[in-house]
Amino acid sequence: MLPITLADQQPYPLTRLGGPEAGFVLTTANRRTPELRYRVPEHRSGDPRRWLKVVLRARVELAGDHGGRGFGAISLLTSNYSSATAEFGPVRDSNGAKKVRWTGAALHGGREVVTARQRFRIAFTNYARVQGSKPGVHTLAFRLRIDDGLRVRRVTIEPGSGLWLTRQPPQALAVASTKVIPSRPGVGQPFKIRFSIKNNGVIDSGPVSFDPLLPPAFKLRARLPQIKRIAPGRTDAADLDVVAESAGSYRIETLASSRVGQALAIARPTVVATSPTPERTARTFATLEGRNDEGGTGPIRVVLIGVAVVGVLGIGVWRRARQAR
Amino acid sequence: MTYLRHGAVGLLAIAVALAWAPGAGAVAPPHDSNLSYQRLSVGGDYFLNYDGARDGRSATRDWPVTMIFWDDASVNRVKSFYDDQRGYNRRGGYMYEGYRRRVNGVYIRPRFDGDKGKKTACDSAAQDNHFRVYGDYTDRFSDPRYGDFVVATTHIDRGEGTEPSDPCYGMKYFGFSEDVEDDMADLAKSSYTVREDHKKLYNKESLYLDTSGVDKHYWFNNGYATIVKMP
Repeated sequence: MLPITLADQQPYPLTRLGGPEAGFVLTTANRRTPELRYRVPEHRSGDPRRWLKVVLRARVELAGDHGGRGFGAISLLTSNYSSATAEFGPVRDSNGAKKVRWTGAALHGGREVVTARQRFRIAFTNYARVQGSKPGVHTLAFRLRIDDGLRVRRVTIEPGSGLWLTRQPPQALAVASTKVIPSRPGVGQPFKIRFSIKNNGVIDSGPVSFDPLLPPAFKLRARLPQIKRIAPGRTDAADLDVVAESAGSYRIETLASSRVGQALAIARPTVVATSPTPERTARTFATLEGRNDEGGTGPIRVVLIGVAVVGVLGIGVWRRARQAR
Repeated sequence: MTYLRHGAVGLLAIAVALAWAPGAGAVAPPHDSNLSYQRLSVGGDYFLNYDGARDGRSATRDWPVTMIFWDDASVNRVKSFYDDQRGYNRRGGYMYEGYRRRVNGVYIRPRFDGDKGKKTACDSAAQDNHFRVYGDYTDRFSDPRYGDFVVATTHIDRGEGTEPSDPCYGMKYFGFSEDVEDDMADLAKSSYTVREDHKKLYNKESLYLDTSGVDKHYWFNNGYATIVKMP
């Protein structure tokens, strides 16, 4: 059978791809389905960009005595690369009751379901692997994997499983800009880092949250910012309110996350000293023991040197006073 | 007078010697690399290049990520592979890997995956190999090029025993991530395709002894993770 060409932005279930009307059945003895073929056409300039998603719909039936151990997995393979895998296995809940948990990892998402049933349904979507979505002819197949002795009676791949072309990119968020306000804040002076985030997708972003990696010298002054939503094609900004306890040039990474993807923003604020403070010298020791020694004048050293100087001066003053008598 | 002059000079000499003694005034270890978000390819999930405490702070980092299991990997698969037969028959203590967590379609805090990891029995030198493996709430991350993947940190534990009769009893220290990465890579070669020191994760730590904490840590990592393909 000739491979089906994926031309339209619509679902391509198994039946359209040449699969059986009733779907595929996998068992312990038959762990892999026959391959179906599809063609991804070349992208023509001027056409909107499209991405290939995979749809995994399956019914799993564990054996009545599944052993209470081990785990299994159903994978949807595109050109022999796993594009969506649902892993399942027995667990116990907080009361000690026997349950079954299945999980499906997907780009910026996924599914996690815990059920008391031995027969359960799996459903989730993911973006196809790069290797299976380039222009050309590819294969689609399903595989059952069983590890550590889990007993599986049957897995039915539903006919609704398959492929789906979409205009929504896998990571729709992008950093438009980062700005430090004011541009050169002082030590102890509150300042803002403004992150502008763009939604390059065709669906609403939903809430966008921010996770900064702050250096030890930085403190948050307010709760972490959040953008309620960014409409498709629009840009919105959020401010991180911080204060720095020491001067220097810093690198602050912040991960913006939403249901349509993630974007990593990097800001490089330079915090200037508001009053003259001794600069710490660069690390000079690189030996095994010496990496803890920054080679500069730490607080303990300052105190010890101070004690010595005051002691010597005090003795001098005492001597002069005694000679004067 | 002579006695006083000698005393003053002695006081000054002791103070200066103490002030310049190695480690004086040390507060936090000066790492070679920053805690940072990494991903395997464009469009993939982000993860932190070190595990650590459940706060994502640079000062509380524990060990660098040294191994990546990819293609169709999961926390369960990795732990199932490094099993009793391969010598990994004990559990360690919890640490956490930063990631994002989604509930009802919204990303919320905290975003950490905790794992005790698995470790070998102590050898004649009172040390064991310990790894922790992390994914997100689905027990793995996702990447358009690398598929389902998990990340692992590795290190040696030495001298954790409390009684002289305990095979783990001895001088206590931890570290040498790179060495355990090599040992685990060698084990994986029997079953999977392994590319040693392949993926740069910007977490290089040249060998040094960190005494800033309660226990001695020997930081040692070349900054490149070994990747293991689990089809």
